[in-house]
Amino acid sequence: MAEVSLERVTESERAGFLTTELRIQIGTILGVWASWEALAQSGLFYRDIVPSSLRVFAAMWRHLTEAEFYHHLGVTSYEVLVGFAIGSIAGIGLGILFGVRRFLGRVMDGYILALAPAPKVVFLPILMVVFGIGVGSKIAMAALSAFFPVVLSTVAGMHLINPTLIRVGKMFNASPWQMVTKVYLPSLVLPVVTGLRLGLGVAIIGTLVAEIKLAKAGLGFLAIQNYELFRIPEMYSVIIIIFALAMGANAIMTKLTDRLTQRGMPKVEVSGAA
Amino acid sequence: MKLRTLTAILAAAAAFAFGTGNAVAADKVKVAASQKGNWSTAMVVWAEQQGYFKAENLDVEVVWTSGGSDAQQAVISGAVDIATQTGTLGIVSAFAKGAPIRVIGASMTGSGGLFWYVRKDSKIKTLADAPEGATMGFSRPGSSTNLVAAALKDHFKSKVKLVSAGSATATMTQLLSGQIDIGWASPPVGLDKVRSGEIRIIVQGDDAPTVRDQSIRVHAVNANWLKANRGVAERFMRAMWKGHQFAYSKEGMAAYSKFAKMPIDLVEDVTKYSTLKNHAYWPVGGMDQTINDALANKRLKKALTKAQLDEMIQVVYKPKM
Amino acid sequence: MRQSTIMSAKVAFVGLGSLAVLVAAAEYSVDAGWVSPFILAPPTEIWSAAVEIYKEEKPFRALGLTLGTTLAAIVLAISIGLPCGWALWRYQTVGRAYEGWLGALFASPKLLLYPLFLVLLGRNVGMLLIMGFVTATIPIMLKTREGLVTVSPTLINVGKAFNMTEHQILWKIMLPSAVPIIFTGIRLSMIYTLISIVALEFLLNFEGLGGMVGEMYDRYNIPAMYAAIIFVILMSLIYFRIVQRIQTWLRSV
Repeated sequence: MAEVSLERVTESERAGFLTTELRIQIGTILGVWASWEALAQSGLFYRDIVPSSLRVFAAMWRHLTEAEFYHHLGVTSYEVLVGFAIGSIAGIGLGILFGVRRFLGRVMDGYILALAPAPKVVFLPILMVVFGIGVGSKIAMAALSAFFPVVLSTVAGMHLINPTLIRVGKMFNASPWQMVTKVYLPSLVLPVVTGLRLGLGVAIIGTLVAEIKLAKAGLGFLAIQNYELFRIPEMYSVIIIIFALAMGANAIMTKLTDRLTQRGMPKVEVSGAA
Repeated sequence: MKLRTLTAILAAAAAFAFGTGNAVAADKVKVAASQKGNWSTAMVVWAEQQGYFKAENLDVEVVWTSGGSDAQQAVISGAVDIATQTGTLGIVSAFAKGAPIRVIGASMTGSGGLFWYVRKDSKIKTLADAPEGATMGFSRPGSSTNLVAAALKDHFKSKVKLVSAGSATATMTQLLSGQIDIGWASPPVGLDKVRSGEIRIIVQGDDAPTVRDQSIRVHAVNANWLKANRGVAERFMRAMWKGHQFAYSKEGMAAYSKFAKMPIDLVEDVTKYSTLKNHAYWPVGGMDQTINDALANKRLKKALTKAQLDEMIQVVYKPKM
Repeated sequence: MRQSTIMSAKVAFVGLGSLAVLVAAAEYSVDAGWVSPFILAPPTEIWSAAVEIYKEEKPFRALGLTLGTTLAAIVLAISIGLPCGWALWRYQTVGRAYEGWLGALFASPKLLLYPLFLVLLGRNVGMLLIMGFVTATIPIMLKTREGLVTVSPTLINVGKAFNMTEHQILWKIMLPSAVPIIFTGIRLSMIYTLISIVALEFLLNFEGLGGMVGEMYDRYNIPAMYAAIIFVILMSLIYFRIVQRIQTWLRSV
């Protein structure tokens, strides 16, 4: 079975730019688009719930050419990036610390593993009460969400480091900073990047959830405001843009992890980080 | 020579100090408003647009929330200084728990025309005969629509299920697309569909006798901010009252018609449902009723004492009605 | 052996000890007025609020609702995701065509689509179920395909050597071999679906764990809010441990 299919694939790849996969993808997009238009014109749904894609594209054009939209985009990007940075740095730093100081690591392990599975949305009320309704609570939410996958993958990575390397470093009387930069971090690259990929994903989702709940700016806020004001094509437009950006960010991180895996670094599976 | 130079310098300094626009910087006020597009919550917009705030040397920033506890949390945490047009139900329970929140004026006494409606083909004719579990929407927990909906359900001994449906427009969508059975609206929003027959009003807020004299919404303020800025609060309320008066003028109605994209004759209908008097800052009525509602809703464990009420309600400006 | 037991005892002692210190600090800082009771509730009040919640708010009913919706979504996702994952493997070009999209969709904020589902399906459990289903199906499809693709060709060749039909090879050799990876997909879906459903309950004021936390917050009952949050943390932990146990048991089979 497997052998026959392989041959078929090579043939179609030789067929040039339009590989069968690409044809399937294009076909699917066109098919989905056509069904959407058919539903929009059918009148089956209460007006505007499924608007014509032309109206959605028009709304998208308006958004992309309006300064106000970029204000919201900027706010969300700021919240995601700052929160992600804080959560990641804390995660990597603490992950290395818990890997080096094994006792401390085991004590903290219990707490981290206890909090990791909990859906972070339940912490949002606390964050809102402590950090207010502005960007503070969104950054805090992004940081909290990103922290767990990063710290878990860093700790897992620390456990995988070849003990010989550590002994060599100690033999040369390396300072803690030298140990971190010359022994730990180089070995941790793949686990950390894997953790960062997951962390970025959940940081984005956490920020958007916080914006939906209570905010005065941001893409999540904009999408829901459009829903509340019944501007449905605008709502779809914002959602599509958000999806494109989130999927783009994830694609970049995935390419990075793939490159690193190809270089033969050990893969790390991160489980249980909600 | 020296005296002339000195005089010149002093004159220049004086000109600089008094001549450069506002010698004193305007007081900044952060305000949370809800339900953008709503008739009553637009008062703060008019005060801003018509320059009433500027005339009182105030620099007002408006933050739009989805109402109820969201706006109230913003005030409690100090993220905003004032929350206008916010549900008394929520304020009372927050205050009872020690939140730094005070009431500086009533914002809606009586239901102000709130009505509940069904689709024209709905089998529901009145609240009393609504089937068990039929969903009846209100905006957000702790809001005035929450309070009135509960009062109506109680008065008519209805078996409906109250659900938080969000803004009036969102609720309209949900009703027309079949997600909920009974929707809420605040005039003039929804009046166009009543006129066209697409929806049918089945009950109005004032049908519950307890609501008629109840201040279902108030203007709330952060207690710490109030202590330090009482004068600013008074100026704010005075300027916003001018906004109220503008709203009910011909010019104001035309402005609202543009703001909410609604035909002017529909806007003029609003006076049938709510008047300037409904919006009076004083008196803050029906507190006993509100406390009972809060107790029934599990938001309060015991009634507030008179001393507590006196502490909570500090009306800073009483307009002449 | 004895050394590691002593080690574990030390870890437990330090761990629980520091928790006790934190709790005492929380209690004192609120009582002394350093921290506003609107930000942090004293642990003693959290405890009494927890007792009250137990008596009045039916927390286990909320747990049942959330878990029920999550598990129903997963069962639905397995019944549709497994065959789809198989199809993605069986029709290789189709699988390769969609693999990238599915991977990208997995990390995307599908939660944002809730207004659409709200309008299409109404404000009810069905809407939560379908949104949960959408979240759960993607990892199951991906991992099923991955599990089948990575079956060792040697095993397949053995089956062919015994003149097994394609059908027999699939059911007797490939699927059993792919189970660990397929279960990873199910585990991922169990975690992410719970998160989505709790988040939606919280945002939309539905009943369930997320709704319970949201309701306590809306009522400004801060001690009860903390109690509800702690309850959710504990339940998520137990849920996660059970899922891990199942995976370990499957591995040993």
